[in-house]
Amino acid sequence: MSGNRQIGEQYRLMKRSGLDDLIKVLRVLDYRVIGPTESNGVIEFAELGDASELPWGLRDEQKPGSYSVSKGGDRAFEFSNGPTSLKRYFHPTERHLWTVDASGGQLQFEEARVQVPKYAFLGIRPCDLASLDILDQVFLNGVETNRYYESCRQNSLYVAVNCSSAGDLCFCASMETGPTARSGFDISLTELRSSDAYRVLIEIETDRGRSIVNQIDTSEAHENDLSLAREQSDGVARSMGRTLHTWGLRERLQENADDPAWADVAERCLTCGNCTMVCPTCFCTTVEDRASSHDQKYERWNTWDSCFSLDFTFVSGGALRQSSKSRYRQWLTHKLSTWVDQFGVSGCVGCGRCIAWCPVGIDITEEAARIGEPQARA
Amino acid sequence: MVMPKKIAVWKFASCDGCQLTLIDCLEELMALGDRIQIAEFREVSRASVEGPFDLSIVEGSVSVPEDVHRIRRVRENSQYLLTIGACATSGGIQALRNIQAADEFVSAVYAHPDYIDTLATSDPIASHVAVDFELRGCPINRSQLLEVINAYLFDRKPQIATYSVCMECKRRGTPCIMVSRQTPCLGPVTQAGCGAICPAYGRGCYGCFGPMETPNMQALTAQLASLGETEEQIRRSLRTFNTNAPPFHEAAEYVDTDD
Ligand code: SF4
Ligand code: SF4
Ligand code: SF4
Repeated sequence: MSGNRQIGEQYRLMKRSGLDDLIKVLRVLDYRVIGPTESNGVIEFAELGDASELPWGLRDEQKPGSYSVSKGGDRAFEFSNGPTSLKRYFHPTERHLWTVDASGGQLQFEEARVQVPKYAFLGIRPCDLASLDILDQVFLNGVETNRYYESCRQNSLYVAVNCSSAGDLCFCASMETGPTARSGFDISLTELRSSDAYRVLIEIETDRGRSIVNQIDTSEAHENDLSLAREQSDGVARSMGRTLHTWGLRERLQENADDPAWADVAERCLTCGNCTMVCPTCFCTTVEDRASSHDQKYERWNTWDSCFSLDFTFVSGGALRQSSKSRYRQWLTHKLSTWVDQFGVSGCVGCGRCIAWCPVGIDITEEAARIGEPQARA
Repeated sequence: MVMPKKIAVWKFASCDGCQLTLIDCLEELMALGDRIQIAEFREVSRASVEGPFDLSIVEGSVSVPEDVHRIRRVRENSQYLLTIGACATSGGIQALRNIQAADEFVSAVYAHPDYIDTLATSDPIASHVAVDFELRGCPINRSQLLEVINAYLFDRKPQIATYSVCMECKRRGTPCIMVSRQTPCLGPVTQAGCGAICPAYGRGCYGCFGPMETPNMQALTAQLASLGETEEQIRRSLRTFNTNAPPFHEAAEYVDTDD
């Protein structure tokens, strides 16, 4: 039967126990396994000890400004993204850069020695994988290489999960980042929806990935497993909760800086900065000098910042972007438009986090659709 | 040899909690050795050195007629004036009397109202004299206090963030409790500084550090209403330690959630 033809060494199948094995193997290899787990009413990335900590049988429901977890299904990856992206692992919220010691009368500079952990990420969504490609542009291919980011990226192992359902706020299909991972992983997993017992299709992309899969209990995958995975993926792409029309968007945003829609959204926006913090690609930081006066040492730290803060554009004489309007416009325009000028791709991967985690539920897809489109305004 | 900076600490209407934070920093301050001299700090010592002072640290609000004169003398005698805490920077919880007739409270509370000589309002220090830096919080944050004193001693700008508490929540890794639990929270309109303690324990922010740099009160109160808060609840949540801070005061006066 042709449908049951074997499909080569790139694909394997595993049962539920395969996930237990996978985590065990990764831990034996000294990886800190970071995967989704439920705590305090959200499904978030955290360090996992074993596969029972995965959010089995849980789903999330996301609306603009609202997020909840409920029971449903019997799989481990039935939810969409949680509030935390992988950004904080590669680009920590605060990082010690160097210390200067003035106690000896002369200034002694010493670079901070920071231990870079060895992470294995389990259950990375295709959109989040794409966000790492974008951060690579920022931290590796820019003027200067961020060495912490570089080492962390090299040390890490990537186990992706292809989405088997789309969330209400997802629009990866619009951004062409999902719902199936195409590159940038060692192994990808697809939970197959079928009447049979729980099965996961494994795709092996790297040698590292293969040597790990070789250590766990798997069986041969067949043509029909792969076509089931493809069908699922097509279904997910068709059921995206949101759409962002990207055609001409770059120009439309840049050419309509005075559109009245900016003032309208500014009335609703809290300028709280949550959207930039939860966004997997926002990378802005500030530097802080931390003084400990008594031993005459100063430490320089790099900490997350946001274009929503006034100090972000502080120059002699004050902040340039005073109005909320100018700050919201900076976020949206950078993300969806000038990012393309700067890095050659959009800064948005369609994960939907900024919509769910905006306390007042401002929806980036709706706002982007209004700018320069008077008829789109209600 | 650098001349030691003469530092004085003054108490106005307050609970002394912020001075306790300062006492908590004494180890660090003492380590500065002869860079500083504590000239006046009644909470710690009766010893007192005459002014003028290089740095005066003022806790508390202007609440009784005598305070009005006292704060002017402090200002005249101080090169740099730092106010600390919600009382000194906004009038404190005692500024609740600003929205009612103060004498009504006086007669309700005291057996001999005639012994009481109080101003009609409790005011921030800056509404009476020029202030060089205001450090927010009820109480203030210890490391922020050290940062401001340090910045003063080394003649640089204090690094005190004026953005929202949300930024601290996210750095800390707390998922937004308004979004995930429908818990009303003042974080988006409140200035950072506490380290986002309350949301980390599932409680909405109480607004201890006062309004953030550009608070959108209208948008937040509308959202609190849609989470089920009544106008009265919203009003009460804004009328606490920073009740007299203009954005909080005005929002509480005009809160209108169409409910
Ligand atoms: S802009 Fe919003 S939807 Fe796009 S990547 Fe950032 S958080 Fe996700
Ligand atoms: S949107 Fe704002 S915070 Fe995000 S990367 Fe651009 S400037 Fe930075
Ligand atoms: S869009 Fe939403 S999350 Fe972003 S700053 Fe405005 S209110 Fe905050």
